Amino acid sequence: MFLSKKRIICWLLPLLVVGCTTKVSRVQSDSTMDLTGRWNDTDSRLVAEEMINDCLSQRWLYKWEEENKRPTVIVGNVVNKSHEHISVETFVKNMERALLNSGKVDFVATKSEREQLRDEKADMAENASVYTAKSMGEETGADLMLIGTINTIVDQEGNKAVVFYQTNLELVEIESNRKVWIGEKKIKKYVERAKTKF
Amino acid sequence: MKKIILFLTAIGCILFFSCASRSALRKEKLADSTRKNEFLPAVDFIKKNPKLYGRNNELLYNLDIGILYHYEGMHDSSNSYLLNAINVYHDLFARSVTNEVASMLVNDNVRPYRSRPYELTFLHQVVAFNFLAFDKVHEALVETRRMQLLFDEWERKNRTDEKYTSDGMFHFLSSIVYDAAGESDNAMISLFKSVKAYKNGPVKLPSYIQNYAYNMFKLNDRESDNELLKLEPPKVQVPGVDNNISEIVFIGYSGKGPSIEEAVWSGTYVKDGLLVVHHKRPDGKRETMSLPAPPIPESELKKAEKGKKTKSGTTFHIKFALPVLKTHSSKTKAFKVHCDGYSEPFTTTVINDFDLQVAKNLEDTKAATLARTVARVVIRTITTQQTKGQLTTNNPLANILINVGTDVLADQLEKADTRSCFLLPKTVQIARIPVKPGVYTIDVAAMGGAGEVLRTKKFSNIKVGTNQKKFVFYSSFE
Repeated sequence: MFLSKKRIICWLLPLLVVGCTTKVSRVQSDSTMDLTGRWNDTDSRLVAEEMINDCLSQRWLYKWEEENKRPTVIVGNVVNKSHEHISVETFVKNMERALLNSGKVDFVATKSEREQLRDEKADMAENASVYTAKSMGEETGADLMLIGTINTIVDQEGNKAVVFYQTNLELVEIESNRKVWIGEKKIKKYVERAKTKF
Repeated sequence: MKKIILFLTAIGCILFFSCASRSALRKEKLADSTRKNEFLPAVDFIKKNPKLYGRNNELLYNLDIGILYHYEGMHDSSNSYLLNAINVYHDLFARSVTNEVASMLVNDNVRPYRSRPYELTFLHQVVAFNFLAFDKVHEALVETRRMQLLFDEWERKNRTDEKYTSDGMFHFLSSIVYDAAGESDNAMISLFKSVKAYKNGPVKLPSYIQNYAYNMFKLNDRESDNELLKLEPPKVQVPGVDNNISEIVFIGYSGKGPSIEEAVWSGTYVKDGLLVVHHKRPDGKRETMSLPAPPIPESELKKAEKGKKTKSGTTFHIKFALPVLKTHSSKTKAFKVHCDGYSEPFTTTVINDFDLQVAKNLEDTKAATLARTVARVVIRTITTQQTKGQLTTNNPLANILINVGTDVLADQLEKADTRSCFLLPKTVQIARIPVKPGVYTIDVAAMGGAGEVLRTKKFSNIKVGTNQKKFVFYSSFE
């Protein structure tokens, strides 16, 4: 016999062992990898890039720059009106970071973060030395609020689906309720799932 | 020697595949804990015995744990498992050719469990409930939209109103959540879908929802919806008819939900002719089915054309198993909810009945299940006969043993797919309590059929804000 049973087993065993191990490899954080067709890090990055570029290039900032001031922004609610559980914090944080690093905008803590800070100040009032304790009522009031929505439209039939994501972010002047900037990013995906597998 | 090895291998395969009793073992172990509202020991048992589920039941494993955590009020943990279950469902979209072929040779239990439609709806509903427990209204609405995609797909596939393609309870609760988000138009659309689904579904439209819907459509200038749905003006006054009101929404899970058992049919298969099978019902009555058997094979047809003797007309004994509904009697019939500021307690309304949903599901899938089962049993019967022929020896005693053994083992292979989430309640009930913004305490009592109190619980410090809806959950599986 050309291939004995022992030889076949010797050839197959390593293959079986390799097939059973988990394989992990590091990839570039900006590489595009789609596995399921759902919202993923690439979509989040595309939204952040578009919003940051648009936000920093529009004329709403001129008014503040002319007065040699930096507006203070607070992040409000970005409402998820889509059909997926999307973590909006990923692109909102990207945007916050880019705007802050540009030196043109200041950010203040969000509602939940403020509550935490106030608790800490209350604790300081009791326990910290008078020289280091931070006082209440000295917070910076925000000039603008960042709010937004993510919407989706899904058209599907069987194993095929077209998913359209529209992300809108808006900067609203808190005092006047005037909208000073509206950013928009649209992403359209065609998803085709395999009907059968081996 | 080779024949003995072949025979022993067959026994091994059969023993391996006939492990469908794992489902029965799970039921036995979990039923008692849930009846006593001891959900965490049940979760602990499942986590310690994942083999009782196996790789094919990953969805069920996550669903069972997620549901138990929800009953316990551990909403974060519940969602972590339930969202896993949803991911497993989507991952199972592509059907494995190997599994499908194996299921034709063995039984449906070798296929991965994909959930039953009413279970999937309830799964999304509980995920939404878990988000609502943390006041995450918009995340709860994501579940409404996700489920709507599934409803649309089921409707597209069925194209009739006869099968389960929508769910009255799900749309009704979505309508409440849309209202909480201030989206009155969407709330009315969901309410419309709810009434329509109740009218087409197995659960009768509750009079409370009928009256509420009539008033809400009228309030929102949608009287044409009342005409389309043929809703009559209510005879009793319904509390809380307004958009975006503050309220406490009590959700009660009552009684032990149904399970799926196996009914064994046996009879004769006349080759290339008829299948005549009988079944003895639990009430002792005998049921009989006559079905056309698969057509004559091509090789036999050629023999017949040449005037040669064929195997047609040979009669074989056959046995097959079909899934049937098993309901469980429960003492809990309703809940009474007493809230600060109200002199009279609110009595809950039944908005879903899983005994009826399971019965409907088995009816919807009966034709497909029967067709698969018949094809499988016939293939197996022919294979068994051929195997017997090949295993024949010169020893008469060995031949008898092989013949009897092959028949017994072939019978053992036949198992109905009885997998389902048997941790669902018998009914889901609701009481809506309109309140002004403030802090409230509610006392809940699970009531028996004769008005006796079975168990009680007090929920304190319920903070209701302006236009806010606070969801409170309680279960009584007695």
